[in-house]
Amino acid sequence: MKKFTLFILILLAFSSVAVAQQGRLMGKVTEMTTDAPVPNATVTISPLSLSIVTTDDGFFEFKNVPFGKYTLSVSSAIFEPFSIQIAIDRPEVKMEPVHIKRKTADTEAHEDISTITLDLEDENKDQSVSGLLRASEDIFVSTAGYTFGSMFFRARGYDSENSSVMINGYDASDAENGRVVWSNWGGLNDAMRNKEVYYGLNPENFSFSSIGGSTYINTRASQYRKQLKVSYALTNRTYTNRLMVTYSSGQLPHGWAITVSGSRRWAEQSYIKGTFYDAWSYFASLEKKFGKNHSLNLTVYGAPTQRGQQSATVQEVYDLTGTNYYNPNWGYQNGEKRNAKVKNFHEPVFLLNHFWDISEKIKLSTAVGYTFGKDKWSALNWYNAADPRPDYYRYLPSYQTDPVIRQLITQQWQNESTVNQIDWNKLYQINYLSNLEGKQSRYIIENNVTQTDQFYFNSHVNADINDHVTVSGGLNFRLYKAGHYKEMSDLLGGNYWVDIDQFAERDFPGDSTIVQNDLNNPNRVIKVGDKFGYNYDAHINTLNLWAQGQFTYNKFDFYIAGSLTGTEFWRTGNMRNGRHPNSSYGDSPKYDFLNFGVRGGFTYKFSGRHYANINGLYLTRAPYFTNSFISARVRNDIVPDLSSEKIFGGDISYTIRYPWLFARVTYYYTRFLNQTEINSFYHDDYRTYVNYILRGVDKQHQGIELGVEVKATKFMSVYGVASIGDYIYTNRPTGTISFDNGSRPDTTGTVYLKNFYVPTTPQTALSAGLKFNYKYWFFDVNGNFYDNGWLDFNPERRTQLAIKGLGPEDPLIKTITEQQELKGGFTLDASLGKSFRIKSKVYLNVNFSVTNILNNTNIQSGGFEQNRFDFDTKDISKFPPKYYYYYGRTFYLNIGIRI
Amino acid sequence: MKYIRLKNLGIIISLSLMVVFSGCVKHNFDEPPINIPHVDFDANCSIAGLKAMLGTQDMVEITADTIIEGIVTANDESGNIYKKLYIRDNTGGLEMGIDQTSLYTTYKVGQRVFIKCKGLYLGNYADVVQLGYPYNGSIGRIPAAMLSGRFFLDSLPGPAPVPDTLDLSGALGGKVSNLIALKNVRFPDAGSTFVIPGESNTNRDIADAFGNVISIGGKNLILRTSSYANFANDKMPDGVGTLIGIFSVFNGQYQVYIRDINDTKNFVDTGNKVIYQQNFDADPPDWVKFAKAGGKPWTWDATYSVMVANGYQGTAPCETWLVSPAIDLTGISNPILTFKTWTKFTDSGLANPLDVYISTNYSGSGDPTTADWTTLQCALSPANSGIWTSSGDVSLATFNQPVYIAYRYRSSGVTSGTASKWEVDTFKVTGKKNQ
Repeated sequence: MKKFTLFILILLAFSSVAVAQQGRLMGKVTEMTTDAPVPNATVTISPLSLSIVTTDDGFFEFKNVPFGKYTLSVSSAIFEPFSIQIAIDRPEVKMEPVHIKRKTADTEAHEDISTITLDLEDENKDQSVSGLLRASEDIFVSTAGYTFGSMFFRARGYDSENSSVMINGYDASDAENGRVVWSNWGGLNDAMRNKEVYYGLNPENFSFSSIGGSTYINTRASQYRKQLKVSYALTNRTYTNRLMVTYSSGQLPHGWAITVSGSRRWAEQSYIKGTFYDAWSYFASLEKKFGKNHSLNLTVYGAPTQRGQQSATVQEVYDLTGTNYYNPNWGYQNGEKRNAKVKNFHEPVFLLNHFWDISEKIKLSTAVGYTFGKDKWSALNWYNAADPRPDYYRYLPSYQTDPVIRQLITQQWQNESTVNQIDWNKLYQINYLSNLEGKQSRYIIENNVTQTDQFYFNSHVNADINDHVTVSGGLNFRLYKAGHYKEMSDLLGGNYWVDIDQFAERDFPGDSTIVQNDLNNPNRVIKVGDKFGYNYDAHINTLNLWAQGQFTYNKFDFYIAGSLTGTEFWRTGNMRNGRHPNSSYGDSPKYDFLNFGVRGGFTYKFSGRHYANINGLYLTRAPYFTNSFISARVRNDIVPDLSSEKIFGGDISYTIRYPWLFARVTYYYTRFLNQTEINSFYHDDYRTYVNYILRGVDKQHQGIELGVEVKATKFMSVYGVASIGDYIYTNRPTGTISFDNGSRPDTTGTVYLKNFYVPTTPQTALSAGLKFNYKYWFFDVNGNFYDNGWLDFNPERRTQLAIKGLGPEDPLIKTITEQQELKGGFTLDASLGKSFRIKSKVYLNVNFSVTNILNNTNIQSGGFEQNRFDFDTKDISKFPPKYYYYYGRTFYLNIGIRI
Repeated sequence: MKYIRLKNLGIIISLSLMVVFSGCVKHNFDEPPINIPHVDFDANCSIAGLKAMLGTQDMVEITADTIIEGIVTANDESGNIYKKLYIRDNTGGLEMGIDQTSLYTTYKVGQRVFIKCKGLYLGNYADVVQLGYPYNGSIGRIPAAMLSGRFFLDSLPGPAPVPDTLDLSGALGGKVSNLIALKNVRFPDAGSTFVIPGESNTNRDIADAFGNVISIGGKNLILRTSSYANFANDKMPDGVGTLIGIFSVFNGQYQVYIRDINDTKNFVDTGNKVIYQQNFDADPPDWVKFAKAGGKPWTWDATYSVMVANGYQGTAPCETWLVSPAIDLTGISNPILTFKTWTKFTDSGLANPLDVYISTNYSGSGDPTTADWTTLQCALSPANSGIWTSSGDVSLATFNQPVYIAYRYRSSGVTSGTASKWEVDTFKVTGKKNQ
């Protein structure tokens, strides 16, 4: 693992002129078990009494040290004291990392403590500046992740399938759409904290990742420091309370180590009304070392979560209710707030790892993972009854033409909770009346369920061929099956439901075949827990091989990597749908794709402080299952001309790193070609899924990233971050609209999207701030600005049909087709923290942060045009867009005790 | 040291559990109890009294604290009635337009309701007095937002109201908007769908038990059905029965809306099915019109939708044929032919200008006289009477194969007194299909 050590080791280079008889000493202090940098440790050179505090990244540097032999000591309140003999005999002396050990009650003999060896062997090595970035130390990356994240900021505008997360080699992405489901380990912040972030196109050595980079989370039990940590957080964001307990044994006798963690997050209501939160999480990792070269690790984790959802709505409703955080999803039932849209999931992961040091230079890691579980989200459904949603467009004042009635509705909206929220009691009463007639429920709550079953295998090897060359490679495969169906959750006081499609019934009266959701079980009576509506399985199998070579020399590094992936998927219908009797039941054909990718990069090191770096990537990617079937819920038909997408792109960066200055500027350019996008969403008005298929989509993402951090004084640093992007569609894709219930026929046409902006993420995001750090007090204040975010659009409005009949000069054309910009804005955030030492081994950490201090409630963090367009009146205000707003002022208080 | 750790651990875990379980989030909700509504005020006006307030005006606002009470007789459950509700008391029925769908989920048939009418409007819409609210200057629907505070349910829905038997010979105006029963009627279009495919509404005639279309004041009484009705594609029942529905009027033409298919369920089906039917609503392209002599073929009369033969002003004394397409009687037991005839003017030279024939060997086109024809005995319109006369049930029982039925018209001359005018309509063959 020499290479790996090099990777986390920041070697600093000579600067220009050496002063005679004086040398410069540079090094880094890291924690022994985790290699995490140790900030704020005091480093002293005796007997000169030179003293310095390590930076946030654990670095230290002494200038102008007279040649001679000294004792270097490292001291810190929470670490064992440490010292070593050093010699300054050259103008520039660079040390291997200083590994120090955390103070614990169980500290054993000091023989475990690493010794520092002066790096005197090979002077040239001083210039080996590998491991350019620990990405999380990059001010740009950390700001993009933490500060911009709350604004739905997507780095470089990429969708989340373009980056990956590996947990001990287990790919945490969803096989159907490639997206990483972070919530599957929500609340396990402590357990998942050992991670390496590889941003953009920088090389990593555990997989072949796509254009957005990757994160490797390490859950080996032996890699946690020995501790018991309990923390409680109070906040008014998505939950109110969080209690988290983590225990790590450290290395136990006989090669054992264990870490367990659990948490609960809960809220009756979060920042948004009606959104309760009830989440548990658990984590256990057990490791056993066998001899010097083998280790087995078992990890189990999961986060059973239930939470009430928020839905976007139209500005009229926000204005009516006087808040941009109105939520239409809830209403009072017996005086209590009940949310109709509840997300409920639990997908535990079982992961067995084998780590084998075949030799000093060759390491093999193997992971076998299994996951299963259900992800459900609920929704109201109704049969021949009035729309129960308060913000249905016909219930709004704007639908009325008579000013008296408009005024009356406005008053009711402002005063009556049975008007401005869901009136649950009324829904029950209607069902009760239906019971009296022996008829079915008129209103129900249904769950849309995904039931996953996945086996995953990954093995990869890293080998240091020599001081300059490291090769790595691996193989992984995944067997995935997921059932998708609707499940009756609550009949809301009624007695039963019938499994037919009411829209088909309306459109084809008297046709008792077409209305059936399952012709094999016509007119089935549905009770709570029964499956109905749709029921199909997604099968996806992938096999991936990859290899990479990394080459490190004095003045330059480069790497090259390649990947080969085979993908096979098919659909199995478990219902014979009345609208598609011959293409819905049983297995679809199997669709196979063979894809490859190559990537590479080159870094030129002007000096240890200045680097230029260029990377490039080209890959083809099989279409995701989600984007392959026109309407997977009801039929086997695939998108016409289904084929792989192509991605190519690159970035070029210049990085400066001094102890007092970090700066990086990057330009990136990426093309996505031949993408298929299916926007498959639940259409509340048609109460069915509607599939908007765009195929042959080409996009271009380019932009500049800038991050600068200046340590102005010992206690204060200033930083600034800018992400200025330009993400656009570059062609006119073909659009198809398909309704699951057949209430409207499929339509296909050209969608005029050229030069449209890729929606939702702010394409401009800026941040600047100050950090103070004094005697274990931490203070951070930053201002952020978001702009150039765009509304997600309705493709139907960008077709010939939408503007049919309008003259070429008609201003309505612009109104219909133009894309709308979201409102950006400025936010001010601050946080204050302090670490107290209560007694020798007990520490108390308190952190309090406030986000959006100025309470700017007019920033639109996202939004979409309703996928409805009135082709007759061509009035876009009939179905206006729906928006999400960035939260106003929120706080977060965290108190932790560590023993 | 270990001891201290364990003690700390214990305290922390106990505290944690206390915190965690004190913060239970509730998401299993009690089902609300059934609400039995109760009204604690009385009506002060009858429905007839309310309707009388309109007088001769087109629309009037109700400004007094008028409260009426009624039982729901019809709602929108089947889709035939849209955004309307009908109630009645013992003085009559009332139509109310309400701008809301799925009214039936709350306003069940049999539900007692009280309505505080102040602020609502009465208006006359095409001869129907209705409770509503102005829309574009005339009476329209009550906005849904106005229901609260005006419409009150009282108790759970009661038994379905019994329809009033409608006596067509009596005064009808007071029956409008009420739930009525018309006894002993049949549908001339039995076997056809309530709504003709493609139409948004279809008007169907209603006939008495003998098949005579009912007409009031010169306008046919119609059954009007919306294509949104869930029974729109159902076939109208055969036979005789009691038609239940809401009685209404549109600019002087009386009409009935059924609430759902059950309102026609008590029709006694004789078992006979329509084998072939031709109402001559359009010129029938598949009927042969062959002028053997005189140059005056049968023609279709667009005004009355009938077939007409007339030898007057022909080129010679007429012989002209009207022949049906092949009607397959294979496997039909007791097939019956019915049709109607009408005649005016006299033909002094011919006792029977119109003959009705049947053939089994006509080719289907061209000159019918080359085929063999057998006379069918049937009742025809008396000479020069101008009276539509039913043929009576003409039995075709001896035929168990495809047949052609023909009308042969003749005239003895081409001038007044030697040529009569004949019309044929409502041609139908019924029978029972053998299993």
